[in-house]
Amino acid sequence: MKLADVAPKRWFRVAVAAALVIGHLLAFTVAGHARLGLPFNSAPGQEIYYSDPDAPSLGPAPRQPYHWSRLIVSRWDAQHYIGFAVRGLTACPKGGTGQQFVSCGLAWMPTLGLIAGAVNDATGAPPDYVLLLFSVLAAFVINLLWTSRTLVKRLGLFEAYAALVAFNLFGSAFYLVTPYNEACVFACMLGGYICLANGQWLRAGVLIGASTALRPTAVGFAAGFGCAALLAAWQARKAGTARWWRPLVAIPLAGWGQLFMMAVFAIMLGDPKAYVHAQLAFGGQNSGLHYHRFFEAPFYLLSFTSQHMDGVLLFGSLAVIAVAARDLAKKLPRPELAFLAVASAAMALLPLAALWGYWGMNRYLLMCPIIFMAAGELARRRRALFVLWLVACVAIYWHVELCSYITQGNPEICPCLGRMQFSLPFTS
Amino acid sequence: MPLPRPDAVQLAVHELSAVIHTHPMFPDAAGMRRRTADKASKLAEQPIPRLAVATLLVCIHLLMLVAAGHSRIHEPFNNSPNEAPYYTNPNATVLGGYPRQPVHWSRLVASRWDAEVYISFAIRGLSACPKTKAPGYLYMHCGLAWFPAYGLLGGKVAWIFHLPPDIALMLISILSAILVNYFWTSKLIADRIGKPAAWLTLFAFNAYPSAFYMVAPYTEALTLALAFGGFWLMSKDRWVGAAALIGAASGLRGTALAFSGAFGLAALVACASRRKAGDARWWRPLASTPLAVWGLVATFAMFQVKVGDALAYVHARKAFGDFHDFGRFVSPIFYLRGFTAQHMDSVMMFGMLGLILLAGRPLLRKFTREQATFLIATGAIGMALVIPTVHEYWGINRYLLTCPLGFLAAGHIARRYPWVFALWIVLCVWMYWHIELCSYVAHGNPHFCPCLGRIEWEAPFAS
Repeated sequence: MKLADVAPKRWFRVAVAAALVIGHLLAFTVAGHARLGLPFNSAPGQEIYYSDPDAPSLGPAPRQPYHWSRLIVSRWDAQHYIGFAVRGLTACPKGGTGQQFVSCGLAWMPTLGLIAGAVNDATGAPPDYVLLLFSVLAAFVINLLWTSRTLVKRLGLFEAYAALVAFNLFGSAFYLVTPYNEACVFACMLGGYICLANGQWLRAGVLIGASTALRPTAVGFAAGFGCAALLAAWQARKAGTARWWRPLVAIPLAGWGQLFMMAVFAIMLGDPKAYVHAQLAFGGQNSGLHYHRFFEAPFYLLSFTSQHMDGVLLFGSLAVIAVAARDLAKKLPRPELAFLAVASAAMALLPLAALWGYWGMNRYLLMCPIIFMAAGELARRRRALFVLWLVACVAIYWHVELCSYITQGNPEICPCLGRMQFSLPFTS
Repeated sequence: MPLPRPDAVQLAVHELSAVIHTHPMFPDAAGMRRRTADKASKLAEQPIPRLAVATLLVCIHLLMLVAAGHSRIHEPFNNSPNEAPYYTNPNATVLGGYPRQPVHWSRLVASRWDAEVYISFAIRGLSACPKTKAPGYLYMHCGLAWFPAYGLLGGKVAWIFHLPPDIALMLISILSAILVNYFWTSKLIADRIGKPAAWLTLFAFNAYPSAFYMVAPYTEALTLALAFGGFWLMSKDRWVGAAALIGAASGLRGTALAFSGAFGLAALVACASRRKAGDARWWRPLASTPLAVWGLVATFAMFQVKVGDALAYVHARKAFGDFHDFGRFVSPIFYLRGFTAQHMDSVMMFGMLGLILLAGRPLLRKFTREQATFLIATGAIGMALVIPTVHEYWGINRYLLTCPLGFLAAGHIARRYPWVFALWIVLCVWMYWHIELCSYVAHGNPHFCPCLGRIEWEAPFAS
């Protein structure tokens, strides 16, 4: 049986999607043992709880909730998402200041944590496992979507699988199986793209809107969706289609998640912009958007030597896109290309302007779908280059990003890290 | 006024329509563009415009050094114009404390790091070295951890033309750099990869981060000029002449052995082809290969005669701390840490590898098998010599300057992938100014050069 014959079959797609998710979980397990000598769960059977329900989320270590970092996949921001799952917004004062909102964790979007909390209440499942389950399921769905009929039709079977592999070997791909919102956000976006590609504009709007409820930078996807809808409407009008305006109707839907969360904040905390105020307070002097960075060579150059060598993946991704863009553009209809280009550009540029140093840039790049589609195209046209890209990604995955994640940036355990930006104890 | 006949009108409309449909809207503009392109194409072949551009690019490197001197360390190009470098103690060690001798060795903003040793050889030759076999550290102290040929040549030029030794060395480098630039647009390259690609290769080479070394008192420019000369003669089937030039390069620096090795492999390939074709004297290219290391052999012979140890260089390098770590070839940690190194050497290493893979076989097919072998082997042997032996990552970007295939690949892909080429050039120019040149003129001082990575070497340069 030839691989090309089996590849489109559902059982094979499911098996590959599941294998890749399991691969990430295995990588965590192995890294936990090899780097820290810790098992996957260092406190099985223990409850995750707050001794002080109003404990600040950014206090000195060990932080609360207790045992938040018991899973090897729970580090850094996972504390806040698990915190929301355990205590909701109860620690946030109504009409509070930005600093008070930071203290209760609102510098991170609470949506996923709140949903996990509801599941925890209903089923009694531990909140960290619930969050992990969300991510694992979303990662599985993403992997399935990469080889879906729509994407295979657009990219080609080989290219779709190559994109799937490139996505899962990206330096920060393990975030897909952490208690973070990356997996759910990307799943909503990719689902939205597939609906958009099939002319299902309302569904696409709903899915992309959902992603904006999970993380604010997902407005980049909404912007991409808006551009795609405008272009599709213009093309339909030019072609004389009677209901050419239909895509435009879906545009407001693409931001429903963000509006919904603002309404929640207004009702529960008396401040619809609670998240924004928390972010501004958290950023301190560095808060806001620094667009001047886009034009500064030192900013880009220093990114190569940063803790996670973010410049390597940034410039590598740009190069991959530059090589494959022309061939990719030939395969995709204009509105779809507009969506992918604008959404990816916004997802890369927004954080670039707002980041503390370079913290998280590799993770934000994971949200740029065009990189992986271009990598799929690269695999067809320039196989050796594709292999080089994968090798670099895997090296960064294992030696830099994953190591820095599970050790919370400990340079003694991770000798490959660049100039240190953040390092914290993770005991809980 | 009589009206034109209907058939005449029809004819006129028909003719006008034919003109509109078969000629461009603005025939003059289109013609002008074509004429300009033709003229540019012709100019691109002429020796004088090629020489002018080659010289202009060299002048730009010099200007960049001047600008870096002013803006980074607030120094003029020459901070001691009235006093040439000299020794107060003719036996002063080249690696002693600071300030090092010769006095004023770093007066030129282009004279930093290894330039001290080459200037030293130009002034005092090997007079400070032991006359009989001695421990390696003594050879190291007199500068023999570097090949002396370039410095000795500079000393002769200085003596003949009554020039200060540092200026004489720079002059050799500048002339060699012009020759190298001239080579990139030569008929040999243009016929193979096309005229535009050849010119873009020239620009890619000169935009490369360590390209300014071509005008510094370093061996890079002369080595490349000799190696390219050898490649040119080899392409003309003049194997003995080619071997002589490449052999001369092998006397200038240890890593020039890459050119000798590549020449040997190219000769092997040529022999195999000739034998297959039934050529009676198929062995001729191979017979010239011993000549490709004459410089190295002559240097070792000179060491035996003058300092009593043919392997003085090897022993001096050992005393300097050289080692061989072949595990680096397969160590991802080595390559990853290269991204955060002082000069971010892995960026250029992977970038160049990426360009070569992107250009791929179509580029190599444009060259004969011997030429392609020479180009591939130069890079491969060069890196094989460098990677296991460099201290941390020191100098990798500079060593990559002597891998011609990377630059040919950049020029070759420019038309098909203009955005990749643009991205590469932007990255190179940024690294040229903010990393390599700054680290060079400031001797690795991170206060003057905030973009540097993990500091590996930093030293005062006052003299």
